[in-house]
Amino acid sequence: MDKMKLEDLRKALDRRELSAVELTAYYLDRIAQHDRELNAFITVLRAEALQMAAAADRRIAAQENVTALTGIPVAIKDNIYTEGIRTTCASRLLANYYPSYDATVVSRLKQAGAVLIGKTNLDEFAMGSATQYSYYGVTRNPWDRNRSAGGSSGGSAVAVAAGMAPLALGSDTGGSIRQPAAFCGVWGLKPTYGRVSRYGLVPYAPSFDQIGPLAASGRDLLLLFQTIAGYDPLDPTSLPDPLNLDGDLSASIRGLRVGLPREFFGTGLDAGIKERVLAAAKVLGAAGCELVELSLPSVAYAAPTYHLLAYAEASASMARYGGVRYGSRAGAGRGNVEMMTTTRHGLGLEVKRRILLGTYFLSADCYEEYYRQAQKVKAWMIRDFAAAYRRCDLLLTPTTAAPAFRFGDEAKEERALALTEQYTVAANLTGNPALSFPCGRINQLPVGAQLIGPAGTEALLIRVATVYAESATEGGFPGETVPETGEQIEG
Amino acid sequence: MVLTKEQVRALAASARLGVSEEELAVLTPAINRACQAIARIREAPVPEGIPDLFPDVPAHPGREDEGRPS
Repeated sequence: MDKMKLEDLRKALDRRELSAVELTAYYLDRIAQHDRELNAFITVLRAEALQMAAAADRRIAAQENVTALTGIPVAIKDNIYTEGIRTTCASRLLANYYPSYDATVVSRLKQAGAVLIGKTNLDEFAMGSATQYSYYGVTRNPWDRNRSAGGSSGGSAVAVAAGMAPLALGSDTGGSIRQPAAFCGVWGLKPTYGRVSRYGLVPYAPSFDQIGPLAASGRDLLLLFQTIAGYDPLDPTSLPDPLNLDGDLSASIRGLRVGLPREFFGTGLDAGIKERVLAAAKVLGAAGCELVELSLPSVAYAAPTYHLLAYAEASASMARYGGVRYGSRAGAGRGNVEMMTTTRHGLGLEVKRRILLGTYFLSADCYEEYYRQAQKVKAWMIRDFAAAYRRCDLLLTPTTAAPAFRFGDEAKEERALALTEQYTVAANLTGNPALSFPCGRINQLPVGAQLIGPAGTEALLIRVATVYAESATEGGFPGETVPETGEQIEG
Repeated sequence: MVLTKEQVRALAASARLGVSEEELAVLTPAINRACQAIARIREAPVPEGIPDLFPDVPAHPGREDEGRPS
């Protein structure tokens, strides 16, 4: 069943060949079977999911408001609010935090009749790139248990890759959906900033954060995206424009201009990844796209610019965890300052590192030289990309510089992450939508390619990648080769 | 720029962040490594005429604020 596409599951549910309860029970069994080792879930909603599935079955039987997702299980990253369901952000501070309302994306899933199957693991407060800074332990890559699943939405990517959920939601501040999607061989979309409501998403760096879908195919991804996207008056940065969610994924892509920015194919990129992404470009060329080589010089400064701005915003976002309103409170201090300081002692080291760096870069000594300069580089990058979109319709790049790295090799890990961030953060800095999709494997490890486009082009990105996936001969669909045993891979 | 352990301790105090001595020993070099990597942005050859805080091509086109009863 985990190898069935969503449209096949939908047909089976609608024809009553399969019930939503049976489908949910199947995925709950997969979780029970595999998650002890993979650790993709912080909370499994066994009872709640079966109840929601039973409600979906009643809805299907009565033919009332049946949508593409009615009765379909969805895993939710644990930094997205779920009313009455523990939302930990993978932090000890929020270990017993139960939100009193749903995030808008969760409300929309519930309205569509989807089944919430569990809350997935992440780096604490989404601050990390390997799902290793979680209070609830490391999430492991299903293709090789000794390698990183990526992060911070590693739990969501693993849930889909290992067939523990057909769909999942993640959040992407600097690549946190796309990088784990690439490492785990699934599809992941960071929507245009403002396209999906952030209401109920625990903020890390609010000017970059976006909620987005993860799935096993472009068609499945689009269905989830269509369900969660759209204007929300509760999010002041929500885009008011009407959505262009043209769902015709079989429409021709002939005549589209696909840009290949040379800064994404230079030093440090794994030769195998380069080969596979360029092979994907050739497939698009054969489908009638025009391939355009171009340069985006600002990208060389994307990673430090992103880090500075994200740390600055993180230091402000985290100020709310002072022991007053959210989560646990440490000891009885002599006043608010002492209470806040003592409570925040419970944060993990990586979160503390980012708060301290943000505090430093926002200090009077650094503001002009660093913070304002970072804002200028960001503005330069926005112009640089806007100029590129006059020469091409979208950009094709690798998602990561190397396949999933092995735990324990810190030097390699740091190098791989630094390069990887360079490829993903540009879309967060510019607010553009970006999609990671599988484009083959190296030594059995998945490789991801990335499409980036101008604001509002999510459906186009999915369409182009789907044309590639459906015409590719190697490894386009991870669902065909879901790893069962986690064989150890050398290299 | 190199921050000393005492400067990181002062930063933690201004951020209202409790850190232990062991954490300070790990955080100080980690913060210095990050600062070193970030310092590169000072060399970015930003073209003339690029604004800083309010770029003319908005990345984040938020709507106008509207007064609403709470």
